[in-house]
Amino acid sequence: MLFAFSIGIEGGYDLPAVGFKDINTGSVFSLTAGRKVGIVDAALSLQASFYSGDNPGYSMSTLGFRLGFYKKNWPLSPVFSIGSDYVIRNLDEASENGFAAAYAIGLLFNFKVERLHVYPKISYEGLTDMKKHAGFISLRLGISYEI
Amino acid sequence: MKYKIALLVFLIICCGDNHIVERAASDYFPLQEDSWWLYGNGSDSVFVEVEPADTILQIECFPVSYNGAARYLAKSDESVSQYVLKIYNHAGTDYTVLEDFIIRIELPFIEGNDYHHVLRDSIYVADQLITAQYEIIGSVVDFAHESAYGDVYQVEITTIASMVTDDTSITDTSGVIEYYAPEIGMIRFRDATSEYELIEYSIP
Repeated sequence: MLFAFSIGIEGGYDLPAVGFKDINTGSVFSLTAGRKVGIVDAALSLQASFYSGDNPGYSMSTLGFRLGFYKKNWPLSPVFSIGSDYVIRNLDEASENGFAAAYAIGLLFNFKVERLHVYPKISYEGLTDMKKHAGFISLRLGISYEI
Repeated sequence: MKYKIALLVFLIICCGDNHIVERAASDYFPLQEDSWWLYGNGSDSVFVEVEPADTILQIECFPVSYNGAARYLAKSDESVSQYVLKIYNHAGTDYTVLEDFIIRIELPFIEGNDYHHVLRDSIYVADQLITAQYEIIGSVVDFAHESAYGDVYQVEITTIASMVTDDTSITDTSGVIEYYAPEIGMIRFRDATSEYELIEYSIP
């Protein structure tokens, strides 16, 4: 098929790896839409995440988009993505926000059953404001369906 | 052309002066043994040094010397707490009225976070009720970008210490405005009389 769209969902678990000393764990959910672009598969996703802090009153959440590239027809494929996040930090009633650039590099395992595509993924999900970077090790499971 | 505009918008929103990742991923209160900070106001100086850890009330804390006067601070995921000891002297004997840790700074810093913590205790000395109270009212007023330090938080702290007996009441109120920079700690503070700027520091 030369021109095929896929839509899907992705969810997973993030652990702070670089910086973010005040964060304990996080969960991530995203909606994706993908298509083949040249020799790679591209996916545009809308992603939301929530991170709980070591301080029970503290949390951080993000909402953003990602443009990712991978190879769907390889059993094991590298994955790269870039995007932007709106970041909100809360401590009890107080909050502050800002924008950050986001990037990711990782590996995904492709399993295809007819039009259904299931892919466990492990990646490093980085955030930067061009002054400092920090990031998470992310374990996710994605499911997409080719239309 | 539309890709260039999208890239420009992307860079503008990510490269502004609001460094949310720096604020989220930095330690604004490094409290380690052998760290020191030297502050000055032109005519006077304050040397702050973190001494080897100690244990008070089964809590590990660091004596922090301010020109030789020690303040015991304990840091946790939620706060920086300060040891408070209030003593009442009667007929040459000291009686401990209040002894505990009180939260001085809530962590992590978030703009607009206001807090109020109170310690209060009483004892009877010679059939007289002695009450001591120690309050800390804090507010993380805002943050501002400073080219030398990054995003700096301004924290206002008011301390109210009182001792009440049957016939007297003594209250001491003091306020300080402190400025904290990422990975450095306090870079400036202003009390009722003067403002001190960080001159030099060392964090091992």
